Amino acid sequence: MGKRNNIVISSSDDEDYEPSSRLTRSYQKPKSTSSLTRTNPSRAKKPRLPGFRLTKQSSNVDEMRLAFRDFDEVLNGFKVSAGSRRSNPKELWVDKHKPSSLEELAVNKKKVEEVKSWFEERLMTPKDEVGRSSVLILSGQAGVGKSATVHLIASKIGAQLCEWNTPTPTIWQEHVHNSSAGMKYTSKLDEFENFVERVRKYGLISSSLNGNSKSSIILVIDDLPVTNGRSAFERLQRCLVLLVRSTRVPTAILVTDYGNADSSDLTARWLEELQLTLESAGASKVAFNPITNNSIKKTLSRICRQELCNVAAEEIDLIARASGGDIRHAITSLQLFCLKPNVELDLSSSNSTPSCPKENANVLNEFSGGFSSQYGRDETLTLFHALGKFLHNKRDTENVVALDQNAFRVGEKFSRLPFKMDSPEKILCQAHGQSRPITDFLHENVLDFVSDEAMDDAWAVASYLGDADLLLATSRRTLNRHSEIENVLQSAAASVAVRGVLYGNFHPSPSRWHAIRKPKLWQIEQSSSHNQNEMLRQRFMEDGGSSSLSEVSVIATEYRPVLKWVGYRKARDVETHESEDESVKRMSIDEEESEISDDDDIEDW
Amino acid sequence: MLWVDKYRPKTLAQVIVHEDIAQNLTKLVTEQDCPHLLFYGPSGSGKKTLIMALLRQIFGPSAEKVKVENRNWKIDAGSRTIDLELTTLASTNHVELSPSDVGFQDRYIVQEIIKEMAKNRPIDTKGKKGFKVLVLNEVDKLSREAQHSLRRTMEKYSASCRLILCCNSSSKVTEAIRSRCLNIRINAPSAEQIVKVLEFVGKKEGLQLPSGFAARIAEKSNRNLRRAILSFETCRVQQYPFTSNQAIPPMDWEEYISEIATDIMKEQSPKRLFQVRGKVYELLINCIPPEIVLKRLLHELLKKLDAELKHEICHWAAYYEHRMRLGQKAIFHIEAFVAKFMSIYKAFLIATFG
Amino acid sequence: MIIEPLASRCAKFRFKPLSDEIMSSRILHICDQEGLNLDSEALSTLSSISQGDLRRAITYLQGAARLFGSSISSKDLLSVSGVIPVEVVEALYAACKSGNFDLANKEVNNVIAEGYPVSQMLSQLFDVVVEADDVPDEQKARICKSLAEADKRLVDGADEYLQLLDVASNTMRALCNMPQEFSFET
Repeated sequence: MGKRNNIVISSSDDEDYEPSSRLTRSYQKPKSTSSLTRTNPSRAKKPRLPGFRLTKQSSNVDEMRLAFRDFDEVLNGFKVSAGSRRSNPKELWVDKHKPSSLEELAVNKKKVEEVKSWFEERLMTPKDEVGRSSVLILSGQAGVGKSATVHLIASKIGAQLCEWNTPTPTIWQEHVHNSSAGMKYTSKLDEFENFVERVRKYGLISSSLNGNSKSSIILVIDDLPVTNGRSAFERLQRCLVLLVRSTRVPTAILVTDYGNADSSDLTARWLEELQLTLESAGASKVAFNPITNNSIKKTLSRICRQELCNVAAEEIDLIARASGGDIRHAITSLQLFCLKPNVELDLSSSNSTPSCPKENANVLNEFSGGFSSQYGRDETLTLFHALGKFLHNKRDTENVVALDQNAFRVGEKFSRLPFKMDSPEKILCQAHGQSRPITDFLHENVLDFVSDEAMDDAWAVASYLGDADLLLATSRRTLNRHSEIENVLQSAAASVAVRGVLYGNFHPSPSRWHAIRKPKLWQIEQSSSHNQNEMLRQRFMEDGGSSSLSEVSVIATEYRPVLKWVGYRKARDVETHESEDESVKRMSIDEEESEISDDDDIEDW
Repeated sequence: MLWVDKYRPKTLAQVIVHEDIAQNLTKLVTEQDCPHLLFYGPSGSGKKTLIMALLRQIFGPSAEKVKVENRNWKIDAGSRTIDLELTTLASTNHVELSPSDVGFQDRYIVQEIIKEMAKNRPIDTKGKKGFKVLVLNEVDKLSREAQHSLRRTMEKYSASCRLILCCNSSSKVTEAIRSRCLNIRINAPSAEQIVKVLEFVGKKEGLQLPSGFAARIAEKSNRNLRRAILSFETCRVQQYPFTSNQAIPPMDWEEYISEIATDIMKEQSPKRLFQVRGKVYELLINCIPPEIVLKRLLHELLKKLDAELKHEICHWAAYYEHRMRLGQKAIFHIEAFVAKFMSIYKAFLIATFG
Repeated sequence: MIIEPLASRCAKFRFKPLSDEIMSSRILHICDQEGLNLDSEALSTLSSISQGDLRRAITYLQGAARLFGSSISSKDLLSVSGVIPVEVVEALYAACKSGNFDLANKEVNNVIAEGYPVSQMLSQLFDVVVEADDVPDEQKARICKSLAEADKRLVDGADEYLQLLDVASNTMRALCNMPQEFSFET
């Protein structure tokens, strides 16, 4: 393990410490098997509830819990908690097999070089050269090696690393305790702002114990504080922009991308906006791609050798593929897999794989959902698989089994041939499909799969999707996010959408090659809300002489089209709208002579 | 400046179209203490104009000196603090805002603003005007909770704060609020009244109007005065001197919807439905409200349909618009309506022509 | 609904809606005190629009006085109360009876343009339909069902024009004996 001089600046909310940032130190002696901790080990971390992060409207919470219970069983006493870094003989392989040198990094070599040379450049240049920002944004999905890269580069070029970790949020009991002890509540955002201010003004003081007061320092901001609400987000944005513009210390900001999220996911949108803003303020950016399967496989094999585990090559391949480019996930999966060696890989392909070719970046996972559900990470892989089944709607035309006498008989026009797949709910479960994205995907694509003559089918499908939308809207409205009711509504909506598509599409178009598209709706919603914000911002300007606010709908339907024709530009200063003369006579069309004493300029035509 | 704004009456005395209401309002505020008011009526009928003129009547010219403020409100709601952002327009004596802009948390805004206004009560100079006025727009879009909290706050702070509410349809305002306000219905001007205003504007601008021209514009505006004046101005930009049969340009989105209607009548198939979807997306990107899209589409279709189909189609339009309100994504329901229409029309064509 | 055990432990005082004479006399007393002038037509209008609710009647009276001054006509009271003039309701009803869709559409547009609240219109239409002598019960039932649905949808926030048009269409089809099922329903 490489020598690391870590100065960790983190905010603590322990009873022992004051709730303000302070420098703590942790020294690591070079040792191969000691556990590396990146935060102050003496801090008592409160373990999170197991499975806390998992109950996100997933309909297969039970399966997950099962998987983790196995984990717990085998490593008793070891809680899967974020941030818990107890020195433990049975530790996570993710930590144990951390890359110790740049060569061991699974990240693309060119990317590593890019980042490394950026830092070297920044450290070489004399401090007072202005015009180039010292901030680098590293973005990429979770587990792709951003943090590891920066740490290793720092140690390689001999710079000292100062790190900000977003601390655990204050739990209510703590807050109550703190406030009774007279300490005011500071939000994590406040603490972050304080920290950034201090860095800006005073730079970073290197540790004197090191003896090397002139050594170069790199600042790493790993994970930004969570912002709740637009104004908090803007505070964060402002504070970061300030940092970008004024800091002299080479800084890396690590940002986790959320990938192709639904536009209604505010966090994802804000992060994107943040990145754009920082870039336009002058920060540089390097995007980390998901780690290639081969790199993951190499790393997994290496760990297997070191841990003396016997894992077959195909199995390593499967794990690598299911991880979706997230090497941290792959290693954890490997660890779990190795601990339960008698887990059967459920490779049964009872479902005939449809002839959906791999046509886009998201490679279709051809293996049964059973395996992926335990080790799979990227839901969209199996999502496309599931969608393909639903859209193609293959039915059993041969082997029509004689109807069971007790079976409920439906009218002729309501009956359908039996499915050539598992029950839709099961497939949904395996695909970890969330109702909203599934409905949107179906909506986007289903018309391609309906035969061109079957207008009634198109209506049926549209109608069922509308029903699903209604169910989802109801569940969105309930603010209580953890209620059982909401889960039921979500599942019901997904079922309605899927079965509606399967049922409604009575005359599927003859199988042709169709790409499954991402819902265009998401992008439309984004553009539309952006335009709406623009209009809201402009709405007083549009009115010009009037001293009142207009509705957005009026602006969109009346003012905007007319302004396009008339081509006006509003140069009016809204704040100093002068009042009219007091002596205004009554306006009457009969009086030819009536004049308005008007301060306004009347343009000449 | 657009003619709509240039010739907007600034005082109650200058109001042409709703003279009687203006007179009554003048009497109301001069003789007595001003109660809470609710102005309701269709779009473009003159509600805002009257409200602004009324404010001027109460407070004098200072009511027109307004400042835009983009405020962030930090509201303490018990266990958590809520951050909201809202644009307000304020003069020394009044504040105007649209609380429905913040979405489903609108009730906090309403409470906060009124509380704040109540705290800063202006000094009673003329012995009568010791109150501020709060103008709330689009109250029919307020959630039910917001309306309830508005009612409570209205009662509590009515001494220092008067409310003027503005909305398109009073059905959506709860009974409790309606009974606490003086309800003033502002009907859409008749075609003749619109013609009068257009002729007035034309005269002020020194334009020659061929006979019947103003009447045509008035008719096309569908009794929406703002629309009529805007149309008038676009005609002026297009071509002057006017000719009596000069084309009056429609709004671009209306034309677009008319094209969609033609498309739908020409071909009924899933493929066509998909194309229609793309066109509707265009409209949605430009923030045309979905219910207006649906209504206008219905309007265009009704023009081209036989009588027996009209009933059926308007039934489905009402059905799907309602579901659109309850749902999340408007496009699903607009599309379902179009699909239903296509399905019905196709069946009709087959039945009629074989 | 009060549960029986509770009700049985209480003495009950029943308040019936006030009769017209009591209301009128009280109203006239107030007019006297406030210096208002109310003609007899206005007085009877006031009784009918307040529906036995004295507080409502006084509120309407005060509103009318504020807006229209001390001389109050029947029309003033109607406009303050938000009640839709009978002619307007009749016009819509007649259009429905005629069987001419475009005519009904025109009337509906007129109602919206005048700014009358549609929920109020539905309520007044309901009264007209229920009291109509020449309409068989089956048709009345159809119409009332449509009114109820529309009312519910309005509460949900649906668009007023479309719902009123739907009601007008259903009313027309009921009154003109058109079949309830649509011809091209799949």
